[in-house]
Amino acid sequence: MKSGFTLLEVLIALLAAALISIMSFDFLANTIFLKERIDDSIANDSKHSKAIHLMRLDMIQAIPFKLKDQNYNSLNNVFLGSNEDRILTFVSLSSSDTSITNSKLRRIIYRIKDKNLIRTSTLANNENVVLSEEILLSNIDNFRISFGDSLDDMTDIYPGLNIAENKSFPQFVVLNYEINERKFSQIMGFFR
Amino acid sequence: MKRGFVLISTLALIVILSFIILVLSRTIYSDTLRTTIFASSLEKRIEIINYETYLIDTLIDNSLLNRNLSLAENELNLNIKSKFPNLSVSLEDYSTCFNLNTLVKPFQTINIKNEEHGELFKNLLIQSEIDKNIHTELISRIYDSLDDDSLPETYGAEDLFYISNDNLSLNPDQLYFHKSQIKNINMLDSISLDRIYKDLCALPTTDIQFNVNSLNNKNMKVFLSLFPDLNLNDIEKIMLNKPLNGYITFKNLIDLSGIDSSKLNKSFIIFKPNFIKVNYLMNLEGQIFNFSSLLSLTRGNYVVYRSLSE
Repeated sequence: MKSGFTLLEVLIALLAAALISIMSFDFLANTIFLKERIDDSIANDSKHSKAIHLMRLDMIQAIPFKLKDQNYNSLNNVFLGSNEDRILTFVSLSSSDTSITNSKLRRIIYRIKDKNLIRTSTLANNENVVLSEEILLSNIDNFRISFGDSLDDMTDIYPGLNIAENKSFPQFVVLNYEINERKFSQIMGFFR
Repeated sequence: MKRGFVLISTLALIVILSFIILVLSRTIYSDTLRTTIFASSLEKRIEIINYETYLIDTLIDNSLLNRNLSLAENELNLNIKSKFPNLSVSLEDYSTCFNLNTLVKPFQTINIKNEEHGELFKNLLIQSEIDKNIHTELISRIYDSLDDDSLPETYGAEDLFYISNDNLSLNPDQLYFHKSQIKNINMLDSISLDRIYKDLCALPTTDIQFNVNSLNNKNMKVFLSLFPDLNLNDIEKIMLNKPLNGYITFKNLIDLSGIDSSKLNKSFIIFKPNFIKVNYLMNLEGQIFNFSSLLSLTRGNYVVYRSLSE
């Protein structure tokens, strides 16, 4: 009785497998390469969109809370924006209401430092107590932020240098920047 | 015997390769979907925020409906479904809680303590069984926290006290935006907070206003604190005799409920909410997203705050 495979059958099977493997290798390698590129792209886009969404969510939850500075003096301002290292400062209801000792209010500070966009949250009226700090974006070039109530009339500082008291937020905040030579422009608002 | 071997092994190899490619594609798809849903949840929220003006206008234009907030809620949900099929809203009356900001009153250009309202707040502390030994100190600290001056009450605390403790936030010296700011004065432990927290709120007004048409067993503690001459029997009369569309005027309330008008302070009573909290709940591809807005029922600048977390 003949049992198992003949040498010829095994050789033909190996040959067929080898041919398919050679033909599909290129396709499979491309797929894996594509997946890596898409993963990288999603991770970058996701990190980027997460950063911008976080900023938008902080703005949506902003409240006109008059700030005190690090020396505990009243600033008579609810929002500070500039093109310097510290780009945005305001108070937002961005924390959950679970703490026994702290309120839901958080002072949110966005900074541009060493090409990084950094988000810091502190107690609403004591900036010296930092509750969280996170680098949201890296490799930022040519960052520029402007503020205003009309897109045709934007300034680099909000409120202006001569304004002693301000209880409102700018209607628009516009961000322009580059990451890895890709240019981005974002228009945001406080919806108040 | 095994003549199909070449065919089977070739097919098996193709199946294995297809499976690998399928798995890779699936992960790419799910990663993309997750990012897209997060982005669209924010877009939806912004769309809803833009829609809020219409929502407020509807509530103001049909303000008679607001005497019965569950009717107003049903009406709103019907309207919303046509524009946002995956969205539902629930309304919370914020004119039935004890507004912490009523502990101060405007005087010229500043806010000063309101001792009369302080006594009413003390009633709430008693009703809530908060330790009597801390009543005076707690109220004094709230006065100092809200008022504009930097002079501490006898049992109060201004910024110097908070500066001396590294982990505390300084006094806002302005009206509260959220009731959780009472935690910053560092007086109530978790048990005391549990007893009183749900009865508190912070609204951008220093006037006491209670919507009698939303009086129920959950908020009657606040009502009894504001009107200490009332008893449970009076509360029962007000709730049981309320018409379907609510009381309309003070006279209507007195006539229908039959309670002694001298037991009520007319200026504290309102018949529809001035502030409501709108809780939005949306379903995006099976994932639930929510946020809430505390809104003043006045045209123009109606947003008190918006929050994504409780």
